[in-house]
Amino acid sequence: MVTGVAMASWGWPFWLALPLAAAATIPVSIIVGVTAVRLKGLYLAIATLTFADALGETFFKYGRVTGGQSGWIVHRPSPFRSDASYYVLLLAVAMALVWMVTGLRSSRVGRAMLAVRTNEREAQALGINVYKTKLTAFLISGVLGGIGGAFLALLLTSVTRSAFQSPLVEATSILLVTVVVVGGIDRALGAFLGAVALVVQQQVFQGARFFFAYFGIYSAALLVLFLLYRPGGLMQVARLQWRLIRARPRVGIAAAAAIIGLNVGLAWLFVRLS
Amino acid sequence: MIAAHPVIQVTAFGLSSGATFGLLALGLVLIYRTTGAMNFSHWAIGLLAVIAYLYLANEGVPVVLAMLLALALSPIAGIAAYRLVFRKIPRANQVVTILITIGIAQLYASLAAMVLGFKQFTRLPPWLPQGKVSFVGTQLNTTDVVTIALAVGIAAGFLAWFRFTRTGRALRAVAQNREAAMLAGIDDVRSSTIAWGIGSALAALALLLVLPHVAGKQGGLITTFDITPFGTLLIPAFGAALVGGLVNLPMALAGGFAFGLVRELLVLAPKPWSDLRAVAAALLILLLLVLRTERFFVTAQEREALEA
Repeated sequence: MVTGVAMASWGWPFWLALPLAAAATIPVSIIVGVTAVRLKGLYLAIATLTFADALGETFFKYGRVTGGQSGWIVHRPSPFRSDASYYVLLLAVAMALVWMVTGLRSSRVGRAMLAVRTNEREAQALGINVYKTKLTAFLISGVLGGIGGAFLALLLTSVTRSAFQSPLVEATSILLVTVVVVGGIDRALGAFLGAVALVVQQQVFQGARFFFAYFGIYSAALLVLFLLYRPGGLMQVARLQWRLIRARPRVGIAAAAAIIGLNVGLAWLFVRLS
Repeated sequence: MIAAHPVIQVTAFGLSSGATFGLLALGLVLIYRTTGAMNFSHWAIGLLAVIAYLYLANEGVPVVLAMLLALALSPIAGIAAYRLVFRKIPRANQVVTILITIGIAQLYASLAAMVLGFKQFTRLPPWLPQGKVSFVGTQLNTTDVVTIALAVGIAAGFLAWFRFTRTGRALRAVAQNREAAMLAGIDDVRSSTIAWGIGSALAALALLLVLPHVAGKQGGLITTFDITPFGTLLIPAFGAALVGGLVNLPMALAGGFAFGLVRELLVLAPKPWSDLRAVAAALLILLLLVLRTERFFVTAQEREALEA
């Protein structure tokens, strides 16, 4: 968000605007974090959704700064103008961030976070400042969000209200949740699996007349069905299938083939019909 | 004459949008108390009624009949969601419940978008009387006045039903202590079904009341983009529900009016402040959350039941 303002209005180069975007999330994260730390479960969900919507709506109201509803145009920095080279840059940044977050897990702060998650009272008894730890988690994820938002702006090259729409309405945010749940929420590889599955499906529906409606219905149904029957996501499906193949190879392989065949067949049928 | 009393006019508009927040909040609280599910798909269930109404009215069905049919559709959608999905989730699993309601919202909103995609509604018959009425020398929109009156009337009827009828008492018993209610012979599933049905009907009514305001601006033309604002209505509705600690129905209704008033009266504020309406609402909600308003409304026993 801030990247766009800095680049478009002040003419800042991207490499200066990016740290600014990351830094700008800090005060917001603190405001949200200070209240969110006191909340749990349902109340936390209401708080975060409310804030996401309020910030989105307000940013785009200041027409002079953010270009109002029509948004503004940003340009990618020079060596990464093409989609392919930008992809390489994104991949490198994502790898670096994953590496850093993994490192965090084994650091002192990271271990304190895990302890707080597992048992708040025990962590406190061990001398961990629960409040500070939770706030740190909010800060780090806020900064990550700022960096992600900056790169998303450059990917789209134009920043509008709809790209950063309310999570209640906008399919993109729900899609993120769907990707994580469908893939498998308790494994890092799961998010990747879920993303691949949904991107493939997106390609299948691409030609349809009401692409968004079909894809929305499809991904929502997936989300609900997986949460109800396979909460471990595709990772769990794969594990169960693998176990079946090991135990009764013929039945297992036949079942796997049937599942894959059914999916490919349905996709083919849909492409042919639309 | 018209500009003479902007405060009264804005107050009327604030109360009428507050009435819809209040009705949404009543539905949210009813469902949450009885079944333990905070329904993030509330708006999408109401949206189905709006789409059904638009479709029927556009086809030439008489307005009143179209209204009634549309109002009947939402409870069906809500009860279907409960029977097919929510009943199968353990009550304690709050996060999964929220994720699933978001999924259901996406499902119903996509269905609505599909209907809108198939058909362009170019002609929206107004179902509320248009025009102006005079009040203490100020011209008010008839739509606003009728909205307030309808909402207050229906909310009062609903609250009386909840308080005095046998079914209403059964629902309250389930909310207070599910196990004890079941031992007393109250059918838990039946109570939850009723709560979902009535909650969904209230959502449908609220959104149908908002419809003339949304559509009025563009001469009755409705497109897919116009259904987006319906989703954000849920946020002041949450705020209103929080005024009653997510459990108290009359306070939730009052909270709705309060949120509507704050939102619209801020329009009169000088320029930089009037743009911060969304932030003001968000801060208000955060304040309510931090105050943990449910403390004021529930007994220790009921709180345990909700948090379990």
